[in-house]
Amino acid sequence: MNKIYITLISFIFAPAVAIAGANIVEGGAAQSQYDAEKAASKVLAQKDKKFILREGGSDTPKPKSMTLKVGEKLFIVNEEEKYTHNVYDSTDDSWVLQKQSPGGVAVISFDAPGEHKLRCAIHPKMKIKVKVE
Amino acid sequence: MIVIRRTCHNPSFSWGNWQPKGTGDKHQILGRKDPTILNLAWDEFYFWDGRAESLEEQALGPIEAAGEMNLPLDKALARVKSIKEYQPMFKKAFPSSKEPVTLENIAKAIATYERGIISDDAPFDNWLKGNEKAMSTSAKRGFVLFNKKANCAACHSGWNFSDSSFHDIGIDDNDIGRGKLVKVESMQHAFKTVGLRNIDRHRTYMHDGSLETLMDVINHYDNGFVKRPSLSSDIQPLNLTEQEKKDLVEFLKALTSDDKPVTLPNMPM
Repeated sequence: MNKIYITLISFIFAPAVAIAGANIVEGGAAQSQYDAEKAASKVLAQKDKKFILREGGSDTPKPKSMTLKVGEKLFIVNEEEKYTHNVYDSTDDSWVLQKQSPGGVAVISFDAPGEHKLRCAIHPKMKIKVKVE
Repeated sequence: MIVIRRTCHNPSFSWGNWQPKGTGDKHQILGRKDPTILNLAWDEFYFWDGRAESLEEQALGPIEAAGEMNLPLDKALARVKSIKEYQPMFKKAFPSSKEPVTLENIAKAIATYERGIISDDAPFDNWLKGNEKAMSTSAKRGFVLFNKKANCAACHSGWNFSDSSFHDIGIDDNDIGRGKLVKVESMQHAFKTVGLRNIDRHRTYMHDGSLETLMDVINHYDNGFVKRPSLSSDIQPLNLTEQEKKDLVEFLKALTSDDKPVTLPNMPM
């Protein structure tokens, strides 16, 4: 199973505020989850070099922030026709998704409350603050 | 109000520098080409590696950088304060400040001046407005290539022909660019996508100034790039014909505007 658990930050470089762990699934496993759960899940779509937050049946273009519960899934989906994206946690560079070609899907959840500034490395105008409660 | 370093950001060279690399304190040659400051008012990332996210943040960096102007900011502030002609100018610009000559206000003044450096209409714009004679047939073919076969518009998009993205475009040097700031593989050797307005006045090209002509640039993108893991997925061999390359260069030249000459002020003493 293509499931990658990323334990954030070694004790040596631990920042003053503990940063939550992120659970990331990419590739075919993420696609399967997305196909089964997307209607009832939060989706951060990437379209026209912008983030679009999809939740509760409505789209919010260029959202500044969003909230997740601990353990709640966020699907990150490239809906472009041709642009590649590369989302990472710019709070501390502690995790990065594989480069997402059009159609690419990843799903992420967090183990503890905290704030994460997600950004596309290639197109850094694409950014959103994720508050985990 | 404050004169920008015109040796690095020369209006004669589209507010950049024709030399391949910048020249810093004691005439040392810097690692990168001086970037243009044209049309930056709408941008969000400054310096080749995007390490500043506002013009105010950017403005003071080169002043104190040891390799560049090498002037500690406290000394820079003292120097500006010692020039009496600046006092009424700062008072007028910052009327609510009791002591208007501050580093913060110096940064604001420089940034505000830079936001006014904007290119005028180019032949391309006049063509868009309906003047069919504004661009040559070759340049019009180049515009089609720019958007399709050559895929330039993947990154050089919008009115200033930049989407402010960062890419490794395969320049063969050891400068890892934004990779120093963002620990992501795709950011190794990545630099900011420059706007293309007045690009033929840059005279040297890329972050290291290693290419001397626009044709060199086209040849680089055609198949002259270094292939490595961080190379942008937008960079692929293009297999352009010689005529297509010429058409692309003609289009790029059609992005140069006939801007008004810049008048140099008398320096406050």
